[in-house]
Amino acid sequence: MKIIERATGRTYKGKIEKLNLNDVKKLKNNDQFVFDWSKEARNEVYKLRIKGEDEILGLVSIINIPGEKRIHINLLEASKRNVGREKLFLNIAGILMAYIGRLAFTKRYNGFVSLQPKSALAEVYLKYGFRKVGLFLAIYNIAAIQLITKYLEDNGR
Amino acid sequence: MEDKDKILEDLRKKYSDEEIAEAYMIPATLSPEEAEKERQKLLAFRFKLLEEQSEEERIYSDVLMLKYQIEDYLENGVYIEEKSFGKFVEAYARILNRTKKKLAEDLSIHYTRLSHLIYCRTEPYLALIHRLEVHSGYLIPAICWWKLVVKKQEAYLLKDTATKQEEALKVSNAMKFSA
Repeated sequence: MKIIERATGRTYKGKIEKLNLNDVKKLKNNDQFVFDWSKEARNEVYKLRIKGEDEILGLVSIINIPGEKRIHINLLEASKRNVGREKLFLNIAGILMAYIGRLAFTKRYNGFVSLQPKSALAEVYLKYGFRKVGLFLAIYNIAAIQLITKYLEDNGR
Repeated sequence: MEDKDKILEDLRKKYSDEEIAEAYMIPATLSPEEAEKERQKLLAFRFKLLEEQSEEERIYSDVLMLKYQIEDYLENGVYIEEKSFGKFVEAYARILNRTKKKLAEDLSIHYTRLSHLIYCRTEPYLALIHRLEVHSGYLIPAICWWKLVVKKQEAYLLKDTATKQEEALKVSNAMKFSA
């Protein structure tokens, strides 16, 4: 996966890792994020960074629901430096969502990922390939594959 | 208690909704009754999708799963015998509900040869690697299959001190460097 620097177009190899419980708890009062990520300790939390560097560029909290063959994204946040027009890197949220889609394929969920965003923001996620299911948004099958190809596979950049 | 609505309100003072959605996924706040009603809608949708899944879709999805398993294993530094090239080919055949004999026919190789490959008695050759890529509908690239072979060779190279010593005896004029 390539992380793209907005100002220069340079790309960096990304790495996503699952945080253990202690790592999640240590995120309390992390001033790079507006949400208190220590509250996500009961969920699975993954971080995105540039390979070889420590700085966390983004976080995603998921709930695996095997009985429903889906992964639910509970919360996602790019670090403060990666928000808005002057963001440092372009594709943080896309990479994290695509990674969760990939994870949903490895669990034999056909890439099925759901989220339930604030209604004011819901329309914007449709561009990632999500579709509306009531107040939920869901992505699966071909749309999930397209998301994965776009954000995780280097020739899809 | 963290108020996600307050956080969103603060973010909206600085950023457009598009900019916020490009950087965050902030969950909606629903009452327990609303949440359960919405969950039931999603569940009905999800189970309908599963019921309607065709065999072709199932195979496609499972082959992709296999590809990701191979990629994750290649990313991990450690060689594992149970994750050899042969074992993945066997898993591939299982996903397709193909017998090894039928898969061998598809790949234009003798069944015995495929069997030897699966049980790691011989190593695959490049032509077969290309055929596997094509057979998977190009879902599993040749390079993935090939890297499985290389990963095994690397592991064996590192631990085979006997061969290293044996071959050292056949070398003359070896470079000598003082560190």
